Amino acid sequence: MNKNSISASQLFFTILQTQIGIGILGLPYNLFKTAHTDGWISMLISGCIIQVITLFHWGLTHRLPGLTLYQMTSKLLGKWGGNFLNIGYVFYYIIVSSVITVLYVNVLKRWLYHLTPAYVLVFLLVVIALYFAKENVRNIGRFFTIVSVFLIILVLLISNAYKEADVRYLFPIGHSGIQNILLASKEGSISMLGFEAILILAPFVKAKSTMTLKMVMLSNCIVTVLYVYIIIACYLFFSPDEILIVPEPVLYILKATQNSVIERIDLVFITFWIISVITSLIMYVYISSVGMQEIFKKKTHRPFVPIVLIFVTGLSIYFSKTDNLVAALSQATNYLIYVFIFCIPICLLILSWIRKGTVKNEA
Amino acid sequence: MALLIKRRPKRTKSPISLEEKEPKTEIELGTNVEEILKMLEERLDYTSDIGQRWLKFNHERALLVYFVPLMDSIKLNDHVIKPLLIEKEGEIKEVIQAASITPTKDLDEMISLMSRGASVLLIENDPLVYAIDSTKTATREVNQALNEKIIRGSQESFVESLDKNLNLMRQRFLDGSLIVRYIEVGSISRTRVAVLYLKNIANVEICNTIINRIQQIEVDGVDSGSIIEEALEDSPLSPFPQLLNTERPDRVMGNLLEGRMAVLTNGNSSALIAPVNFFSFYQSPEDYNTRALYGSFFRLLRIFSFFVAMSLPAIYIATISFHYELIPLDLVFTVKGSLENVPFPPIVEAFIMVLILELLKEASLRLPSSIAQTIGVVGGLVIGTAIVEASLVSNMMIIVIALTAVSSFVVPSNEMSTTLRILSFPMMIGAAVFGYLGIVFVLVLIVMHLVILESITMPYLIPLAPFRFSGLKDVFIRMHQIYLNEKPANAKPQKRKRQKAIRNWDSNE
Amino acid sequence: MKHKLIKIFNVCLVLSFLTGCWDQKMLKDTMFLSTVAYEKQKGNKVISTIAIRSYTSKEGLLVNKTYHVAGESPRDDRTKINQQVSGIVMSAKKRIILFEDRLAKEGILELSDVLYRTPESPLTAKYVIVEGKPSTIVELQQVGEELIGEYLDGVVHTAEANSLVPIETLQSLCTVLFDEGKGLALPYMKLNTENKTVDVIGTALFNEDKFAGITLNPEESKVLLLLGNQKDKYMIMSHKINIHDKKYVVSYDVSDAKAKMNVKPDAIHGVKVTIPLRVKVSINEFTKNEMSSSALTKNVQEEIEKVLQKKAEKVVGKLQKANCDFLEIGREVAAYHPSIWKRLKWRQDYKNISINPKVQVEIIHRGIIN
Repeated sequence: MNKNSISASQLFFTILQTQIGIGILGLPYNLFKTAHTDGWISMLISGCIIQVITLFHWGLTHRLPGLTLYQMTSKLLGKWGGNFLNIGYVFYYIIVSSVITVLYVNVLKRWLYHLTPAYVLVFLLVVIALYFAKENVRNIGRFFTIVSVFLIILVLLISNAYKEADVRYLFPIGHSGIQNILLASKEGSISMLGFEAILILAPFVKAKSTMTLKMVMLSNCIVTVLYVYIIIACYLFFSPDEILIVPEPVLYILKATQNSVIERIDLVFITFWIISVITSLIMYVYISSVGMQEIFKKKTHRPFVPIVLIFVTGLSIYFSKTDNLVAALSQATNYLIYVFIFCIPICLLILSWIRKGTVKNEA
Repeated sequence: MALLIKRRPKRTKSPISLEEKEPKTEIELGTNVEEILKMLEERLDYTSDIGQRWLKFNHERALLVYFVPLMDSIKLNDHVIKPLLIEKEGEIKEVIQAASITPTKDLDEMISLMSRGASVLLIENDPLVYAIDSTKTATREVNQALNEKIIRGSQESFVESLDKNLNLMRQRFLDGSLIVRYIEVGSISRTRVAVLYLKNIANVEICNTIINRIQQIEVDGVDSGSIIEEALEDSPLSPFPQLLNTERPDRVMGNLLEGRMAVLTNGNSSALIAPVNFFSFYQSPEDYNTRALYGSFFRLLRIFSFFVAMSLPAIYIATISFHYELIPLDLVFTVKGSLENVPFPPIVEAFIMVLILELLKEASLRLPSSIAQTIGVVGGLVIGTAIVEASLVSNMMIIVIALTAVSSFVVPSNEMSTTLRILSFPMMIGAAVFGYLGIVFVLVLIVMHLVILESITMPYLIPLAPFRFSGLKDVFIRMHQIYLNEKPANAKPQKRKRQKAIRNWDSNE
Repeated sequence: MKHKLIKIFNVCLVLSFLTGCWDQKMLKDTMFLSTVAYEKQKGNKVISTIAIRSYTSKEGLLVNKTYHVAGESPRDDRTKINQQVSGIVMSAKKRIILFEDRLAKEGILELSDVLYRTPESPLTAKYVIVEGKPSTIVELQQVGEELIGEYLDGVVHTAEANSLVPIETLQSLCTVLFDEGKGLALPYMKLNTENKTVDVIGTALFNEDKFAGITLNPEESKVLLLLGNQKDKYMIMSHKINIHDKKYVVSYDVSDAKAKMNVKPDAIHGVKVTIPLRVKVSINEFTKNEMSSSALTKNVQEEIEKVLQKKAEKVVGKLQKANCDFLEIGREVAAYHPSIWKRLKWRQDYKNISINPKVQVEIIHRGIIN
């Protein structure tokens, strides 16, 4: 697989782009509902939790090197158990892809494109994903590296909010209580999803195993810092009671800033945000089709990408019809996330320890 | 996936046998000269431009047969006929004062050598015929580059004769590491194609790939240089060119020193350079001939012009159709005022203007130079002003399209400039249908396509795609030569170190 | 067969994009609203007077047309306007929104909901409270060479630059209204019938989102801004002072002003706030024509201090009367003294707290003559 490999820095950018997706737009609001203006502390705690979980995932790839997640399941649970779990993961990633699509199309419809039918917007996203998700990891890595430059623009745009910041909104720190802060970190963890791509990408990385771990942890760090930066910007800009009525504070800040050259920066921001959403979408579609490739024992994942995308399209078009359906879908996904991302890899890791002898011999 | 026609076509051809030649026509031992002459004339359908000179050599009848238009009279008279007449006998090879004498037995080879400008000596009772090179090819002299003008630097350009071109190239590499490989392409034209590379610098694999691909071309004749280009490209259907076209020897020299290969074709005054990346199309030798600061400024200007040329009309259309809240208050009324009486939607205006512009450009290519000035005035001033007065197109749109056209010509390479203009169409359509989202949609597709694209197995977007920070020194800015001590990894050269230091006096003082 | 399917799919995809540009709004067809004025009518209705700007390219002239509509709410009014206008009305370039003071007394938040809910609205627009009927202002249509929208915008901007009124846009006032510990103050205007212009006559104080009926005159507004640390680029004040029993007029430029806030808990008032305010001034005009001795300078300094102190106390009194916490004392308390904040009910107790401004003036420049 020497032609189809990515370097450590490309892995870093890939994971970074996968993690930064649709979640950031509504994150300050979600955290605020539980933890009030201490949401940023919750975010820091989520960052730590995610680092720990990353360690578990990495441990799994370290013990079973050269295998993707789908191959690991067959190895540890046998052919039928592995296949069953793989089908589960394939469907999980299809659902996650639909959630991303639905959320983004919903934002687009409410902010910009009121009249355009939702299915057209879904088609746009799907077509771009279709064109690229069938590429190998190397091209995906290169593309993700190039588009990471947009993050700098994002950071610069958000820094506008600090002009009208009022530090007193954050004080007194910790007033919502430890319990609420911890509860809110649940929300924060969900928005940092994407680090589990290491389970699929690890065999392709042309670097030592510890370097892979460093890269993923670095990506987690940067995402945490970026999210905390944005969350604090929102909390400083809006008064506490106001945030309750603004579900997408990030866009609102951009809408309200005045500039002599461009007036409504949020328009520009939303249309460039599609790039970050697309990157997350492509990665999840890729993971899903690799799963299908493993189940049907084919050589490449290319023929499965259209199939995955047909499912995603169908689900997205159905769930993007009203705001309620959107909320219902994201709620349901939260439970799936706990199972597939947090629980199962840890169980697999424990299993791999139990079967220490046999696995090490075969590896 | 046949979606969006930008994929490399799958190789389904069967391996080609290179040995498909017609069976040799042997000239038999002791054949009469006249019989050979008759065979020759029959084969060539009694073409009128064969010349004959009967001689007596070695006490035998000898005939010198040649294509009259190809002969250099000095070479023929002084170096071939004169020694034969004076010496009257001896070894052919020791009598004739020509640089290349090829003995052959095959009629086809004899004809092919004659076409190349050899005069063939047929001697009675000699089994071999001798082809003696005495040609003078009619060709242009080396003069100024017509399409790639620069202000400061070498003004030479390639011509149609391959030998003259190789002359220019050999002069530039005096240590002998320039390697030339001839390949004959085309069964009828037998055009000579030369592949040049530097011995210890160029990557061997890429070299072999290129030579292989050229050797496997099966055509009748190479009538235009683009056959070689189309044969070598990985993705011929992509809008982006994957080989650089240049008619300047100094540019070829620079690229060869970086480890790339050059392909020169006889009859074509431009060289193809492979493998290239996207940013090579934005480098002009002028950047290196002037100071580092100016070079950087013009590089940045060119990169800026790339974005303007591709997306400015699309951004304008999207802004006034979908998102005019973006325009600041004072400007919005000016724009609105200019749109007041125009009946068409902006996309139609844009198409009208672009169409007129392209028509003018095509027409000006074929005009005789005496009328070109007048048509330029007519096209530019009258049509531009009259159209606005007639309210067919708004004057903001004319400004936008004019800026776009000017930016697209800033690119040093003609191919890339056409690519930009073509790519602006899908962007305009995307903008007209979806606004900014459409623009980003098309832009993302284009970037994805560029990431996948390869030029002879090298990634097209290096140094951005596999990100090499050191490669950026020569892409967006032109850093001073002090810093360019290593070759860029663009062509995977064997040796990275290019120079040790150019300012040794500074560090030694 | 597979190829055919793919081809059909591609064609369908492309066709679906070409069926229409749903969200296209042509710049040609839009009419830009430049100003809106809201008034109250009997029966809880709202009258909007709207000035729409059009552009005739033939002569390069700008014209306005005003419309009066009565409806249930601002969005309802807009719908009614749409029935009379030959294009799409777009409020994205609205700059100034005028409210009648009577209408503002009933609360401005319910009238502004539409502006926060729709994405196209300009969050950088400004609110202005008008004494009397604002429709008369909009009916002016043109002041000098400028159209009414630009004129009003310019007037408010100049007032802000001169530190006459606080800088509040739609977005910032939403933040203030949703914060218990902050209070709103908006520019207050009046139609000047003599010059046919608009006069900014001070600041209107708000109790939550309702106009409290209490306004500050221009001098007091400036002092208010000084106390709140919101001095903008320029501030020029002039008043009479007493030197050796003679009245002189001194005008000065406030170049620098710093106000701190010291909050202490207090048994009687709940909270005791001291606001030490240091003001640095440059003298522009002094009708005594000379200020050479330092004793005289000191005298002038003290007099200015006295005047400013009196004004500051008056301003604070008015703020408490109007129940407007413009100085954001509540937010200070909530952030740094959370125990006090929990004890008090700020909306009720704000009236009772004691606020003590202490003004200190320093003359740094005296101009180019003595």
